Amino acid sequence: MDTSQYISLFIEESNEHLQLMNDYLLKLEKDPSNEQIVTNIFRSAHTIKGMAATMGFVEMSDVTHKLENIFELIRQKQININSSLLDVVFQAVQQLESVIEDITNGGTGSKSVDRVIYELERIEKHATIKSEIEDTNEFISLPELETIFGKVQDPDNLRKAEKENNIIYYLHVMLQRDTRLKSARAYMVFHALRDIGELVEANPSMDELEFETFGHTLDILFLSKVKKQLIQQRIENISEIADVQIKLVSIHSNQMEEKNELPPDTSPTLEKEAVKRAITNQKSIRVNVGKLDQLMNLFEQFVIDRGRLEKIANDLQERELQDTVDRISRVSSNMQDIILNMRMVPIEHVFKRFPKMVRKLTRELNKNIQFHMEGEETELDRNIIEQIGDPLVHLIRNSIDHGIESPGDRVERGKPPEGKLVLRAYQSGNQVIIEVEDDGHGINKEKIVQQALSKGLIHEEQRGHLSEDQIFELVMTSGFSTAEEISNISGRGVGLDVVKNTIESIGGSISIHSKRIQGTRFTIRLPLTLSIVSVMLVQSEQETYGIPITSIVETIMYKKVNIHNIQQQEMIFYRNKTIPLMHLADLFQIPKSNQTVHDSSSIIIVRKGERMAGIVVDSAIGQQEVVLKSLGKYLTNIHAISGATILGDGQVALVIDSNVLVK
Amino acid sequence: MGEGTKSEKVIVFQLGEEEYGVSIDYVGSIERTQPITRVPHTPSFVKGVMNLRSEITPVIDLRERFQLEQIAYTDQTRIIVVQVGEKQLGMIVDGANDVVDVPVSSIEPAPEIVDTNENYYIRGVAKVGERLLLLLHLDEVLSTDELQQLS
Repeated sequence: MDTSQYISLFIEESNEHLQLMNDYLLKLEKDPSNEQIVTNIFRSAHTIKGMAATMGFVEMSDVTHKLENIFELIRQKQININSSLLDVVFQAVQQLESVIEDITNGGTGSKSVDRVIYELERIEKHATIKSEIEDTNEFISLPELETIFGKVQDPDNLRKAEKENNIIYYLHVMLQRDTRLKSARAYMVFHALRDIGELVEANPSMDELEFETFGHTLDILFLSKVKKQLIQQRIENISEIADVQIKLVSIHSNQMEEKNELPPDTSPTLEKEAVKRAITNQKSIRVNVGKLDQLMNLFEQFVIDRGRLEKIANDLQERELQDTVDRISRVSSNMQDIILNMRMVPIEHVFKRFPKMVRKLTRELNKNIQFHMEGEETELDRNIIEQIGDPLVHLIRNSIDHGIESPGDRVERGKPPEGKLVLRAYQSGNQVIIEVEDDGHGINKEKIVQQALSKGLIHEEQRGHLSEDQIFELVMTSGFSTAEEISNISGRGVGLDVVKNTIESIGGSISIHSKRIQGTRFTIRLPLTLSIVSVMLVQSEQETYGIPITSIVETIMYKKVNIHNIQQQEMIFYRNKTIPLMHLADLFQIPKSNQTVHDSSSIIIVRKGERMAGIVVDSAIGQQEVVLKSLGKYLTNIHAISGATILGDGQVALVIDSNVLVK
Repeated sequence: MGEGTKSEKVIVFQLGEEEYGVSIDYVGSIERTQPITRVPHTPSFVKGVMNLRSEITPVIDLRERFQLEQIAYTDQTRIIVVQVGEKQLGMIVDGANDVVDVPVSSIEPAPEIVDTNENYYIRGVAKVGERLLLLLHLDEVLSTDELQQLS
């Protein structure tokens, strides 16, 4: 997955959580027994860990993972909060901040975090072990070891071993006084230990053992990943062992000394500071959605006034005014782009719920389906995103339920047992296309036609004339199918009329392509944004309407076309197709005025998917960017009207939903 | 009005000979008539939509809504903009120029009048001095049943 799109979001959220952690840590220092704070820190660490892992920032997720472990131990009361622990945790948070800074600066975030991980691990490990050990002498320091073994292992090696999740144990084994085969017992001890770890040092040495020139005690330096009790058990199982003492080796007794040997501290140098400050200014902030909506509303009013200004400037023909208005128009259209962009959200927000849903459904239905998603990064207006989820759920369900066959049926048809379902989004011009495609058994057109006939949706004589598109369209007609009939027809059709209505209500359209046996594809076309649209303003009698530019193919003069009457329907021949013609005045029952004399009219050719229609208007006034507003809660679902806009002169013009008009 | 007597403020408007009242809580503003854009495929009492300070606001003719005789709009004609729930709309009335306090105790249920359609729009009748006010049941006035039937 290309994660570059989400970097800024990731940075924002990480910074937010790090800030929270800092605040909580400060509170915790004053109130170490407050479990709520501990839980909060744990959650923040957990969140960052998840995000970092998703984004592929291994170092960050490592550090936060360790932090999570430590706070989990604090929750379980296995570890006490003290200032030295908090020091390390603060350091870890600081380190995370510098990693985020690195990422903000365009770095890979792979700054060395060894040092802080090391410190965190130490706390964690000691806590785990401490909880199992009752006595207070459980630790033995390096200098003490030195007196026992005479020489001591390189502390760096021990540290390295420790980092590999080993615990360094010091074992003091006492044999019974009367042990006869001391060497044999010693060997048995060594042998028992070798299975569960690594012997680093032993006193007596192997040589000394051979000649039995030692007393009754064995001192062993031992690396292992197992718990103390297990070691104890193993040794005590050997006969003639009097006593075993196990201690942990502390190689961190002298921190001051260690600092030089530890991985270098990676705090930013002075010259980096300047760069950092510059970057800080570019950092993004998160904005309340309400504020964004307010901004959008204000901008909408501004666009309306801009239209008004343009009209005034045009009427007055005052050079200077016109120039200024031109400039305002240019600047504001740039502003418009930016504001619209701010409202765009990746469709991933909707898509991410589907893999789980598909898995669940396929299990329930005993099907074998491979689910793919493409183009999750495609962006859409927030308002559209909010509404597209349910229709997609419907379509995906439909494909799994009725489209893709059971593995057995598939094999019988010569298909692989595993079905394929693809959910795909991409941008095409100023539209976003979403496709749901399966390789199921497709739609049985004959059954659809029969069903439509029995429902009275089509007449017998239409039967032979229906194009493929028209047949598929029938599936999405309301009243085509109800739940009872699903099982005995192709099954397509559950609530598809609802899906269609929802999509059309947000200015989109849906079409179906299907081939028997091969599969079905639903294609949804959506506008990038709903708020500001480019329309062609047209006039019919005294009324002005807007037709979205996106659905217009061409504007042609009425006189230049031949009009035919087929079954009381006016048709024109356009681009090798016969397309229906409708008069806006008839469609909208526009009152006829006497004063207008029509010497010419225009035909606006509109398109919906592959199909087209011509709308006859008195005149096309011109193209304009307008703010599309709803007609309010009182007037809902007005046929063929998608909303209204306020023109430059303050008048309200209705915007036509030409998708509804193209049949 | 004595101590403790509840009352409500009511905007008074005229429709023909009658005086009506609508609670001030629902009233956003009272506007003079202004251009209204017709919206096709709506009942005839829906006059269309107007631009109310950059907001698209539907307008209905209350005379037509109540199936009263139609008259031409005059200087006195007003649009009362009301909001009930999420529904905002303007109601064209013959005139509106008064606000009165109506004691709740003076409100009586609407008289049962046979053969009239307006009855269910009326929440009650209030007697204020010599005036009789028909208080509107705004939910009913704004009911979209008639609109739904068309679509």
